[in-house]
Amino acid sequence: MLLKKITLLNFRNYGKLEWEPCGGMNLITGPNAQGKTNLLEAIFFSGLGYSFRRRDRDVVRWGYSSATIQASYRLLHADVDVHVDIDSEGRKKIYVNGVDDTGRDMLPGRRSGVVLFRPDDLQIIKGPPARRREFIDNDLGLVEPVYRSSLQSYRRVVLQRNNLLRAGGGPSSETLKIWNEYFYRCGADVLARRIGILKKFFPLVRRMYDHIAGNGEELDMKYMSTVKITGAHDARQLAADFAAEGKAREKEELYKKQTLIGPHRDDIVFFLNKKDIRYFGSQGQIRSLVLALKAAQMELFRQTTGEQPVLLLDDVLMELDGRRQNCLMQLFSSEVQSFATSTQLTGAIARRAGGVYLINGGIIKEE
Amino acid sequence: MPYAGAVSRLIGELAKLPGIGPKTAQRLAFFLLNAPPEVAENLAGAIKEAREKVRRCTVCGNLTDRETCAICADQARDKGIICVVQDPRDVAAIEKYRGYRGVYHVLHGALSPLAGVGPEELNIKSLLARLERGAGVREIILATNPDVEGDATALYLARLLKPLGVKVTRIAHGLPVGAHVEYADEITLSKAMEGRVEIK
Repeated sequence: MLLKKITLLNFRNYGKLEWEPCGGMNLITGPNAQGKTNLLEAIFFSGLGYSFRRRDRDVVRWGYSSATIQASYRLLHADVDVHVDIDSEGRKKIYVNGVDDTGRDMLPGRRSGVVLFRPDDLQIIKGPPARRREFIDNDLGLVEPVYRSSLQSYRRVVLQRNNLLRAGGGPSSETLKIWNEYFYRCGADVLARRIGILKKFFPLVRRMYDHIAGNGEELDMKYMSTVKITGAHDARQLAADFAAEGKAREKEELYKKQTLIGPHRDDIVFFLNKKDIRYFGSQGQIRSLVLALKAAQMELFRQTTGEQPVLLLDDVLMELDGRRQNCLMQLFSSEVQSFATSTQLTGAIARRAGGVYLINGGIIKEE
Repeated sequence: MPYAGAVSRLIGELAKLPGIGPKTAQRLAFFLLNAPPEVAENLAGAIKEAREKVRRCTVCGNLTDRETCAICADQARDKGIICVVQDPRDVAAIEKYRGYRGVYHVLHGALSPLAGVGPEELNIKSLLARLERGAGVREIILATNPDVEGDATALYLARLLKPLGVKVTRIAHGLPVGAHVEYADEITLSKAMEGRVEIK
């Protein structure tokens, strides 16, 4: 997937911006607070339909009522034009090739992936389990479109069931029984799909890590489920496992008045040489692992959709040492369109870049 | 509000209606005040009459102005098939296609602990009564909405009704007729695939 052109109107600090990036690596430089990250945010928004920062409505320029992003992409088999309007209340209108895309499933990033890498991503490893689930659900989940809807139903069921548990199971135990059955079914469905994605993803991470670290360190990953999974990972067996776990924990759930098992409470643990990397990993090892996760995410998209995802690197280049920078360059090679922000122009990267752009006060100039 | 008591009360009452904000309420109120008196009188009369006369059918729970609704009273309808829906509007929707010759049962909602709706709040007891009366019911079609609440309700009814020895079916989910496969979203397609049928 290739971003051919992007136009911004009253987006963050940009009054009006028209930009045609190059096909390889776009290095975006400039002093702090000039709009480098804002540009990445706009690309991400046009690809996936939401901001990677806090609230969508914050993207509207101060004192204006709405912001507009227009982006033209070239995909493997189609050209896609995206038009996004966001008003200061956070209401969005998204048109893909002129057609209203309320379901957000025609967006180019939904099909081919937009991979974002920023300093905060170290939290995927070091942060709470919710951060890792977010990574699976929001980022990896895109490779399987049905995953999102199955997760949505699941979340709704958990919400309903928690309400019932809060009411002490409701006036009749019949009701809880039904919600339990439905909960096991939806939970097992999400779990099966999630495990299916991770089965493809884990080997890729291992391969990428080997390449980045290059020292024979042994990386292992484990999906820690709140449900004891026996035997094969087929949906029926999982549903049975889920129901068994549910029955065993029901009393406790009624006591604590909330749902204690299921994919919304699961986690992934990474082991390096058999030790939990969260507690025993060095900063460098964690950084390499995050890089491996992102590289594997790219590869997962490539394998499932045949498309090259667009890569966004927000201020991460300078944090990597020369060896890792080089790895990054190799992994993301010239077929990948990438956008990297940096306050400085350093040798190795600047030489590899297809285009170097300077941003100053919301204006972009090719160097 | 800077209007006389009666005017602001009228605006206030109109603003309670769904989809009507304060601005629209004001517009409607002034329309009623400026139009010939019979416009307002007819509206008031229609609301009053509907409120007084319309009630739930004693058999199926659909809205009617008689003891039993026109569908339940119709001798030509097949009383052996009952289609269970959430809302009287769903009856109207299914009736539009004219192909369904069975009768209905309106639940007036779906299971939702979030909204405080359990089986007791739904019109389920009278459904069981219909089966027990031995009217020769052969099939129950569950036509609740294909969302979490509708699915949970369907599951609940299936568990409840199957032991009674009646055939219980769920309406199909999938592609709308006339739609092209290429334009369908992934979720709809996956449902359509799951619910595929053999051509006889």
